[in-house]
Amino acid sequence: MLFNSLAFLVFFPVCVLVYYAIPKKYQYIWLLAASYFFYMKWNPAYLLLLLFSTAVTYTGGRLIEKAGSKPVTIRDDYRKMCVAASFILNLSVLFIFKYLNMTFDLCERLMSLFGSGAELGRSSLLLPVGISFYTFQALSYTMDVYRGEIRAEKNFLRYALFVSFFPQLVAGPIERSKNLLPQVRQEHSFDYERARDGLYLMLWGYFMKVVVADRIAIAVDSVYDNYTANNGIMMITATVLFAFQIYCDFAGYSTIAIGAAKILGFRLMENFESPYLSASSGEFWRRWHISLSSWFRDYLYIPLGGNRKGKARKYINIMIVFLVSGLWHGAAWHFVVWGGLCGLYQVIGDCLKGSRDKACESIKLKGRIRKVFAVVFTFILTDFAWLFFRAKSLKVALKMIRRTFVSFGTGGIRFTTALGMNRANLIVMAAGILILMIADIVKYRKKDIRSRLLDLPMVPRCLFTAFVITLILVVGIWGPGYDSAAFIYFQF
Amino acid sequence: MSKIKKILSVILTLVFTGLFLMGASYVTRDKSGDAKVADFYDDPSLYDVYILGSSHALMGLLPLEMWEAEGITSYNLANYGQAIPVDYWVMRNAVKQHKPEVVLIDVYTVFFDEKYSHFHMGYLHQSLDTMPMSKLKLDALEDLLDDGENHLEMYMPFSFYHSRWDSLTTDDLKPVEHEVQFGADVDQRIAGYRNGIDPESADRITFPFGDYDLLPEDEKATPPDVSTEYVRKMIEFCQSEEIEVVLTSCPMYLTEDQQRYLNSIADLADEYGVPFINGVRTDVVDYHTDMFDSGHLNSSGARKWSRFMAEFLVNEFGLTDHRGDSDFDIFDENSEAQSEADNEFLSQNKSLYGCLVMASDPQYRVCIAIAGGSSAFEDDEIRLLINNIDGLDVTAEEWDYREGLIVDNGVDCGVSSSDADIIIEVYDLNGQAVTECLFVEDYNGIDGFTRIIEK
Repeated sequence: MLFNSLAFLVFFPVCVLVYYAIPKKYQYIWLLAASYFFYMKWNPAYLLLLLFSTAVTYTGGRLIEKAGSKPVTIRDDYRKMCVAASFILNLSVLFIFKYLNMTFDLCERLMSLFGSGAELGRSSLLLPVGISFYTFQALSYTMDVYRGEIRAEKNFLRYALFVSFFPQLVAGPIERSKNLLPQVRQEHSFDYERARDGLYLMLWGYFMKVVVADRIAIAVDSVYDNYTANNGIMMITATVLFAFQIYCDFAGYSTIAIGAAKILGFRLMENFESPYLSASSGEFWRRWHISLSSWFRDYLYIPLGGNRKGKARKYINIMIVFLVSGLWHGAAWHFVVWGGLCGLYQVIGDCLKGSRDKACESIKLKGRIRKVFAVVFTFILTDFAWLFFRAKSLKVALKMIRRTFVSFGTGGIRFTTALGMNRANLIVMAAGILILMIADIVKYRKKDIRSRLLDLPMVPRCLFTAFVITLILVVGIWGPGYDSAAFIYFQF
Repeated sequence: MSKIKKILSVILTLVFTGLFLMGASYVTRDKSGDAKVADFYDDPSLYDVYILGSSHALMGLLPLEMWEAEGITSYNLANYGQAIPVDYWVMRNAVKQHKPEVVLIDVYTVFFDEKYSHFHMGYLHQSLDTMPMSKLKLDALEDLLDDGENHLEMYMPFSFYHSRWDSLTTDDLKPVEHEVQFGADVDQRIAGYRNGIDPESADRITFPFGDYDLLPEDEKATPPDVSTEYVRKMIEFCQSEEIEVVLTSCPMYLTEDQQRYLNSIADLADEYGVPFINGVRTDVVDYHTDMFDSGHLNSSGARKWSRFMAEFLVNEFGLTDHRGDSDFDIFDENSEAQSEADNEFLSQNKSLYGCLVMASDPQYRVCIAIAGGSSAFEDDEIRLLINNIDGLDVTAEEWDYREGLIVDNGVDCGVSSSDADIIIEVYDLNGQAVTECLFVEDYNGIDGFTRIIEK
C-alpha cells in the first residue's frame, strides 16, 4: 500500500480509530495486524520473508541473552555464533533476492576474461518491498542485544511489531531497538496536540511527495529517458531537479511516516535535516538519510575500526562503508560508483582540509560568504554523484556526461517540451522547490514553522489547514488518472 | 486549549476542508457527462424510448432525427466503449427515474468479455458519475468493478478529475450547459475525419468505403458469457417492468467473428420474443456515402438509420407522435439549435466530401456546379455523394461527359461567374442562403481541393 494511494487514506483513519477505541493492552496486536495487512497489500507471499527475518532475529536475541547462563569459557563464542547466524541467515535472504543476478553477471564477465562463454541464467525472483530496511532494522536489534544495550524482547508479537511497524516498514526511518521497542511495550492514549502535530507533519510530507517530487519526476524522466535528444543544458537542469526529486521523495515519505507514527503515539527519529545546506560532504551525510548513515556508522564503520587505527585505515573504512551503501541502494554498478564517489568526496575533503583552509584565508574568503560557497560546492558535488544514481546504468551515466559537454547548448530545445509538462505545472514545480528551500532554511536556523502556525487564531488556522489539504489534493500527482510514481526508495 | 475549543477546531477544519473540496470537485469535474444527460434529468418523463449501447449507437441513433421523422421522444444513453453490463445499470437507473415505452439496445459490443472497457475509464466515469448516489448506484459499482482501487476512484471521482486543474477555463466555473442532441454525439459527423470541423488538423480515416460480403446468417458463434448474461438481464428486467425491448446493431463493417456473434443474437431474441434489427442485414445505408469510419455512421448514415428505426418503433409499438404537443416544446427548441449549429459547421467545414455529406440533410436545398474538365470528374465517389442528396441523380454517363455540371434539388441556382472549380450553394427550406462552398483544385488540399472561405 502506498502512502499516496486512496487505499491508505481509508486504511489509516480506520487503523487509528480502532487503535484508540480498543483496550490499550491489545493495541500492539492491532498494530501488528494492521502492519501485516499493509505489507500484504503488495504481495501476500512477501510476508513469509518478513516473518522469517522476524523469527530469526527474535530467536537470535533470546539465545544471546540466555548465553549468560552458560560457562564463561564458551559464553562469548556462543554469543558470537548467534550473532553470526542471525547475520548470515538474514543477509543470505537479502543476497538471494537482491544480489544474485548481479553476482551471476559478475561471474560471467570474469569467466569471459578466461575465454569461457558460460551462461549462469538469471533469477526471476521479485525484490520484496522494503527488504533492505526491515532486514537492517532487525539486524541492529541482534547487535544491540549482543552489545548489552537492550534486553531481548520476550513477547514475540511485540517484537514482530518492532520489525514490521507499518509507518516505517518499507522505507524507513530504520529505527533502533533502543528507541522503538520501549514504545512498542507502552500503552498509548490519544493526545490531541500530538495528533495534530502528526497530521501537520503528514501534510508536509504529502506536499513534498505528491506536489513536488512526483511532479519533478515527470521532468527528470522526460530528459533522462530521452537523453540523446537533449542537450547539456537540459541534462544539467534535469540532474539539478533530480536532487530535489529524490530529496522530496524520500524525505516526504519519511515525514509522512514520522507523522503517522506520531498520531499513533510513537516517536520516530528524524531522517533529514536540511541536507542541501551542508557545507561539506561529511556534513551532508550527517543530515541525509540519518537513520541509514548512523546505522552504517554504528554497525559497520566503528566495528571496522572507525578512525581509531590511523588515517589510512580511516579512509579505507570510509570507502568500504560508502561502497556498501551504494550496493545497499541497488544491485547495479552505477549505484556502486555513486557510493564510491560519495566516499571519495569525504576522503579527498579530509585530505585537503588544511590546504583548503589556507587557500580561503589567503583570498580572505571567510564567514558567511565562505559558507555559501561551501554549500554551493557541496551541492554541485552531491548532484554530480546523483547523476550516477539516477542513470539507468553506468554506461548511460558516462554517455550523459559526455553529451553534456559535447552538446552543451545545441538545438533549440523548449523547456516545456523537454521537461514534458505545461507552463502551469512548471510554475507549481518551481514554487514547490522554493517553498521547500525556505522551509529548510528556517529549519536549519532551528526555528519551528509548525509552532508559528499553532500560534494563529483558531479560524485562520483551520482555514489554512483546509486550504493546504485542498491544495495538495488538487495539484498533487495522485489518483488513477496517473501512474502513481512508486516511492523511489521502495526498491532498496 | 480547552476541550470545547479542540472539538470546535476539528469541526471547523473538517467543515472548511469539506467546503473547499466541494468547490474544487465542482470546478475540476469534466462536465461533458453532466451536459450529455442534463435534459434527461430535467424531466425524464418526456422520453418514450431509451437508447443504449456504445459509440456506434451514440453516433448512429439520433433522437432529434427520430423526433423530426415520427415525433417520437427518445434519449440516447449510449456512450463510447460502454459495455453491455454498464448499459444494464445505466438502463436500471434511467428506468428508476421514469419508465419508458421501449428500450432500444445496440448489442454490437456483445463480443466484449469484460464488464467495462478499461481503455475507456473516462467514459465509464461519464456514464456512472452522472448517476445520482443511491443504493442502485452502489449496487452498480459493486457489480461492475472488481479491483479495489477502481472502486475508490468511482466512489470518489475527484481522484480522477483533479488533474484537470492545469487546463481549467472560465467555462469550468459556469453552470452545466445543456447539449441539444438528447445524449447523442454529432461531433464526428463528416466523412472520414476524426475530431470535427477542421480536417487539416484532424486525423484522416480511410475514405471512401464500399460494399462488403457478409457471412450467411446461419454461421454463428456463442458470444462471451458476460455479455450475453447482461443482454438477458436487460431483457428480463424490461419484461418484468412491461417495457418493450428491441435489440439492434448499427450498419457497419463487421469482422467475421462479430458477424457470427450477432447472428447468434437472433436466436437469443427469438427465445425472448423480442425483435432484433441487425443493421448489416438491412439496406438502409450506403457504405460509400454514409460511414464516418469503418465502424461508425456519419451524419448522413445516422440520419437514415435513426429515421429507419423510428419508423420501425412506430409501426411495431404504436408510439405516440408528440409533435405539436406543447409539453414537448423542448424537442423543437433543440432541433432549431441543432440546425443553427449545422449551418455554422457547414459554413466552416473545409472538406469537399464533408460539405456534400452535410448538404444531404433534408433541411437544406442545394445547387451544385462543377467546371468543365475538373478533376472532380475522375472521382466517382463525388458523384455518389452528390446522388446521396435527395432529388439529385447524376448518371455515370453524365459524369463521364466531363463538360461541366449544374444540378439542383429545387432552388434557383445563383451560380454566375467564379474562379472556383466546384460551387455548392446551400439554402434552407425557405430559400434563404445558408452558405456557399467554393472549392478550387489543389493537389495538396484535402480530398484534392481547397475551400475558399470568405471572411
